[in-house]
Amino acid sequence: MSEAVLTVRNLHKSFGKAEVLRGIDLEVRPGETVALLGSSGCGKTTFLRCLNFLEKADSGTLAIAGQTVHLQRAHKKDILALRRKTAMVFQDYGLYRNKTVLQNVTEGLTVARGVPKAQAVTRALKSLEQVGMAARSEAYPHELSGGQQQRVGIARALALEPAVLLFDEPTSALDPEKVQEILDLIRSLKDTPTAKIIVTHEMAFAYECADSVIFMDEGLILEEGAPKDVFGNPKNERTRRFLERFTADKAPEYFI
Amino acid sequence: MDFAFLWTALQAAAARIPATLSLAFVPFAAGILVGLPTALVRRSSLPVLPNVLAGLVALIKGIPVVLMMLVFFVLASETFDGFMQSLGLPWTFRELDKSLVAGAALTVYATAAMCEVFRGALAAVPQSQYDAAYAAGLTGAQTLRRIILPQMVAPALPMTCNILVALVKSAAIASLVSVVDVMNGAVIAAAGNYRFLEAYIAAALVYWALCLLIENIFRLAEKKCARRFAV
Ligand SMILES: Nc1ncnc2c1ncn2[C@@H]1O[C@H](COP(=O)(O)OP(=O)(O)OP(=O)(O)O)[C@@H](O)[C@H]1O
Ligand SMILES: [Mg+2]
Repeated sequence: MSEAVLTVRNLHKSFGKAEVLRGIDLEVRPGETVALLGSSGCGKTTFLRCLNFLEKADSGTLAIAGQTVHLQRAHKKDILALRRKTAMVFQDYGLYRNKTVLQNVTEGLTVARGVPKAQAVTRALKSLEQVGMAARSEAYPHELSGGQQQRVGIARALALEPAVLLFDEPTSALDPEKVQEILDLIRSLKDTPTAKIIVTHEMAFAYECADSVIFMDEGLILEEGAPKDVFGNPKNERTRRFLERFTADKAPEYFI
Repeated sequence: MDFAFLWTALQAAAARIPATLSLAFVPFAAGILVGLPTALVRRSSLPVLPNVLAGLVALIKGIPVVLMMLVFFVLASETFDGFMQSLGLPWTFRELDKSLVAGAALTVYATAAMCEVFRGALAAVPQSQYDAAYAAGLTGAQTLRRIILPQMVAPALPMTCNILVALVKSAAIASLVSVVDVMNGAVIAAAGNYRFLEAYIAAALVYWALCLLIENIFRLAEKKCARRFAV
């Protein structure tokens, strides 16, 4: 088993008086796909955003691809360096509205990573090809459907070739048909060396696609393991209740 | 109505267009240069400073431009000579180009107004744009310059146009402090024959043409923005 590419130790985060993350520990290996499950408001988004410093965690340590920081005293330089080892796919796509599809993808390469323009364009087109959006590279985000925008969002993240790829409910804003398309696309990334952490409410997807499933509740990881263990035989009562609805009616074929 | 004189007054007024435009555009440019950083600081999480600036802007917004200009004029007339003497400079208030005083007052007004415009335009850019840029590893300055500022242009344009038009018209107040702008140019032409109605109509026509021109230029810019990306 290879060395972890992402290690989180005892991560805490409060918003004012409310402690939203109460000591999270996590290790993710290169290429691994981790599905992060939990009911609304349990802190999934906050946790993901702490990993790339969109939220500033209060304490704990974070190591990504060989660089370790103490979260309570992370400097600007560390934050920037760590961010450049990650990429994020957002629930609402978050494409730059003033940039074309191609520019959306090259921006992080040329501006943040100093990749020469021509090389960035080549990489961007390759990523756009991969998500089936190369033909629309000159379009602006507002000219695309939600599903298309999310494809570009994924291409933008892939082109950065991050050590860790963070997905925050990448399909929650899409209609059911497009959800499958995007999930298939994410599934196709399974064998890349990038570690993937995916916050999702798509249980069937988590079951099939993830190497490891994490169940969070009230700012803590309650359960962690291979999908068939967490889904098939949850140890925790809270996990069992959360997964019940799904295991009962959504995908009986997996659990007979 | 003396149409021959109206034509004369119109020419006299039009001859002063450069004075009016510089009285409007220099404060306008200064208003953008100072108003933008002011708006950015007001949105920042710095201590105290945002509140101080907010208070200042509120204060300025509550003062009529004409009052501000007169106060500047009185202050300048009382302090300018002494101040120059203390610096050992030979300039006196009597020789001072009064459009500088008028321009200073208009600059204060324009800065407060543009600060408010930029504040609104900043608020029109959703947080998700910052998140996406930071997540991609852009620095704060890169995010501002490449992602946020370009997206502020479209929402800022309509109000910016209003402010520029207001500045062109407010420049007429400078005639109170004996600056010869479009308004004063027309009035002076009527000094011999007391045909002030014609002079005022001539001035009005020139202002009207200037404002129409500005509004059309901005309308074109808005269209161009809208075509490139919807906001
Ligand atoms: N910026 C913020 N300020 C204050 N409280 C916040 C902020 N962001 C999140 N919270 C609170 O933190 C808790 C966790 O929120 P978070 O968005 O991480 O939940 P989540 O697990 O992603 O939920 P969902 O499945 O609905 O997306 C919630 O109670 C939320 O109200
Ligand atoms: Mg969330």
